[in-house]
Amino acid sequence: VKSVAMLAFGLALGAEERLGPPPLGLDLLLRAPESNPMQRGKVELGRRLFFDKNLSRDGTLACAGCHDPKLAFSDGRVVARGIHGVDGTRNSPALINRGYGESFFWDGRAATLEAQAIEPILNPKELGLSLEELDQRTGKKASEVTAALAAYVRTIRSGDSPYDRYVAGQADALTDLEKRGMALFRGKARCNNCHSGPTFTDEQFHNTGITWRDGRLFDEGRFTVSGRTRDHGAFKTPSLREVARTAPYMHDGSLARLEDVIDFYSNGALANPYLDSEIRPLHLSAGEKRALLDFLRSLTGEIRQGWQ
Amino acid sequence: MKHIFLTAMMMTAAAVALARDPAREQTLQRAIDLVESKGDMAKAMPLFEDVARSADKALAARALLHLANAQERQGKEQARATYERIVKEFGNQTEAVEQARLRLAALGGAPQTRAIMARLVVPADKEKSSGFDKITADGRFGAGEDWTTGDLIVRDMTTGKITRLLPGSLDAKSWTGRYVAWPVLSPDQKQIVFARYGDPKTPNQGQLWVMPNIPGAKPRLISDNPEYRNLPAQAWSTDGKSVLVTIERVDKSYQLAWISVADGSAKVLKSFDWKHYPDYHARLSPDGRYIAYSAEVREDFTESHINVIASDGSIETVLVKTAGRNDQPVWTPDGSHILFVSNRSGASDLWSIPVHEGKPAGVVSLVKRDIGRIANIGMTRSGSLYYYSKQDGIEYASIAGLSGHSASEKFVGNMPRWSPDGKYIALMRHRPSISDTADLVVHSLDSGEEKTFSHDGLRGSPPRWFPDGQSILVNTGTPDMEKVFYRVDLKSGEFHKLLTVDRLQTAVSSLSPDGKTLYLIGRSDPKTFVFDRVVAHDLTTGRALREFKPAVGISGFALSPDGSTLAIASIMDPQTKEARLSRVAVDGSDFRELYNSVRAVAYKAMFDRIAWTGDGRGILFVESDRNNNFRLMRISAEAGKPEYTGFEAPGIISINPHPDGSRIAYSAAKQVNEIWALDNLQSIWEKPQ
Repeated sequence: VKSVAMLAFGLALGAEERLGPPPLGLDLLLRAPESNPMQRGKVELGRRLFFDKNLSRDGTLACAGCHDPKLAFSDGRVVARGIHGVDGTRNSPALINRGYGESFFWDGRAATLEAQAIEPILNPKELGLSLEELDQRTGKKASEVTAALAAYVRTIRSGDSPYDRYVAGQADALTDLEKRGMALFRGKARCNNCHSGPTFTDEQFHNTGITWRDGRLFDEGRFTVSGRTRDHGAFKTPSLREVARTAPYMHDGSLARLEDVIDFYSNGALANPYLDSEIRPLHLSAGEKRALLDFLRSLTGEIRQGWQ
Repeated sequence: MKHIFLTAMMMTAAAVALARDPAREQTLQRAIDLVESKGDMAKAMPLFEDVARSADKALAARALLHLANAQERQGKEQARATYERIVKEFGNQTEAVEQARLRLAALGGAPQTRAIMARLVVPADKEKSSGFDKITADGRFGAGEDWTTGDLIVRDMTTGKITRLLPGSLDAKSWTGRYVAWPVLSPDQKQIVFARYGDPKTPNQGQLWVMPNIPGAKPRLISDNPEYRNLPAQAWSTDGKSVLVTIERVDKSYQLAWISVADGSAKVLKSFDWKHYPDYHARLSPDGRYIAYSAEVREDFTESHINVIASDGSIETVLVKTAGRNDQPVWTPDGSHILFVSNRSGASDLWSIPVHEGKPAGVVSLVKRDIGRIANIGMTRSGSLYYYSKQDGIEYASIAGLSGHSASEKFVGNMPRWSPDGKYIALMRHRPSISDTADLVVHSLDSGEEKTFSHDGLRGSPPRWFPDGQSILVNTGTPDMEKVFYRVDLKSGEFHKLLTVDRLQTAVSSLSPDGKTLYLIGRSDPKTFVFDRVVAHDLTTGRALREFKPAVGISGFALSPDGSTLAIASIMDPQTKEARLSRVAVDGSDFRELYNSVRAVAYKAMFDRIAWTGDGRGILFVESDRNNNFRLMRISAEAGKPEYTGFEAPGIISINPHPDGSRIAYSAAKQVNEIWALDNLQSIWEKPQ
């Protein structure tokens, strides 16, 4: 499915104006399907829908309830909270730079943002609408709503961080400690093996053992989608852009601070039968952890959203 | 010019196989003498015409070349017609056709034929030092680098003249010093942009420079970003303000980006991780709106797709995504098609696909089968595709006198073996572009005819004649796989399975004179490649008869003509590459060391470089001197010091003396690095009238 979707991807343009350039550090090419070209009116509709609480059954929540712009489009909770205060099972991912994504949700079960957008609306534990209610409340077909939401989400882009300015040639954009952290990130700490590219994610699925408790996996993750043995307990690599603003961490929000995440990986994550082969104990010193932390904080930049 | 031409033809003539029409061969020599010694064209030309009627096509083509040359000397218009006849009627005589095409081009016009033709532009012996060129749209100039000096060069593709724009300071042995790579001339040919490496302050960093296309002009630094390890220039934008580059970054990622010539700022079109990186052949469409490139798809690098991305990054399409490798995209001059190389057929073929607005607009079609491993340099407005043909280790089998230095006959192939009657040579010929697959070829030394025998999995191990001269033993299987031995019936072409051996035994083998016993060498430890045992197999039953471990390791061996004794070469010291020669009876008894200071060619590489003389009294082997010259040595099978036979040749892989001891068949590997052009490609995009 992914390859078919990839083939069709492309940002179809009419004669109208184009979405403005991305912040420094991101690619010009966005992954938008030909069937849903980027258009100003559609993006604006998507933005309104994104913040519209009428998209929830009890009128208390919008998409932005779990994807708050003030928190880099995450929610600061351990796991997502839906209507009637019901908690979900996974942490709300930060909705930044998803226009560059290849699959969606922690387990990658949606191949496009359009397919992703409808699920939280219909999920009884999240926004809890039916298709008929969605139609009645918005006056639009579900496909129009999801197309608009997807188009808007594609405009949420984070870049122009101190890191981006440094790699563009501004040598003093990073402190010496941050530069040391960057070297660790790419070297000894092995972060770069999965958190790679301009969005700091390889868009792949890895088992870190975070869901391994009492001798079993509490969440099978990607395996429920692919059925492949290697995907037991594997979750999609999250972007590290704006990572200092998207606590708590991991797919289940079980690590409260970035320091905890660094400790987790320094100790070799959590051993389990399906642990990713990239992961091994790092034995980072206190100084190295500090440098890595500072570097991760340098990934906080400018978030643009909407038609600009 | 004519002298050069004639000399080239004579050299060609000397290299060809024995003539199949001896009478006309003599006639041709008489006609050549008439032209060269007496200048008597009038008498020579009818003789050339007579020889041109020979059934021996090679001889006929040579005669026509001489005839056309004679016609040229007389200023006759018929010369053109004769050259065109060669091109049209003698397609399989590639050397003659190339000569004819060169002369047609020199006569001031393209050949009349519209067939797609390959043309050698820069031969191998002149293409030793320069690197990747990109050709200008008018086909006149190629930009490149001199790998021996690091100089930035521009080659005039018509005259071959090389202009050095910027000197490098490369020490090619240590690979230190400054050097350039990936130069591209601007569309107006006034500037040249290039990557530069080896700055002492940033030795692991690539820089992007630009300079006027004038020797000695001052270059200007465009980009000096420590994040960029490598930034090969791919193309200029149509407005000349930016350069398309494929950036390899220090964080192991790649980017396809435009870099401003004015200030070095980058606009990244698309990023790639190290598992899915793009190759360095991104090509801008003639109108500048799209970029074609290929990128890896699988982590094992067995699959790559052709993509087209808008040059403003607004859209991308996967243009070709069939399984296997699809790469080397290049736009036709009108931008309506993309040509690319694909191995979908099992060989490396050139294909085309129509494109409209950056998307596929039709089905792919084959342009040229088996073009080989190429690196395209670019396509000219006139419809010629220029490309590097790079092939490592092309194998040539040759026949030479044992005391001489030059080969009398030469053909493509490896591991030559004389037939029992000495009239045929059996050899293994690797298929172009599929290096690990070979065919058995039997070459008649009388007629020059060849018969090819193919089987799945056939490799380049030595073929072995059975004593009847009617069948040959060959095998399938790579060094670390099970091997299956077959008897090939040369009349019927059938392969009869005789024997299967485990992966610990090599395919290097000797066949007993009665054709019933096969000796193989093997290793005891599967974790190492130390061969320490000899296994004798009964080919009639397929069972192992016996095995023994000689007192030495084995890096090469050969069975005496009477079938009683094995000569063994063994490496003593991998560092010094010194080897020793020994002999042992086929039952493992009577081990004797003959000599212990052989300078081996390479560690574990004596496999087929040892043989017995036809009389069984001596052993021949290949030794390399300090300058890596390969010399054929002879040692008495009883004792004594080796003696130089007087024969030497570069890169010898395999030796096999003629049964009568007068000549030797041998094979050697040679790297071929040439620039070719594929002409008349207009038929791909021009509709028939």
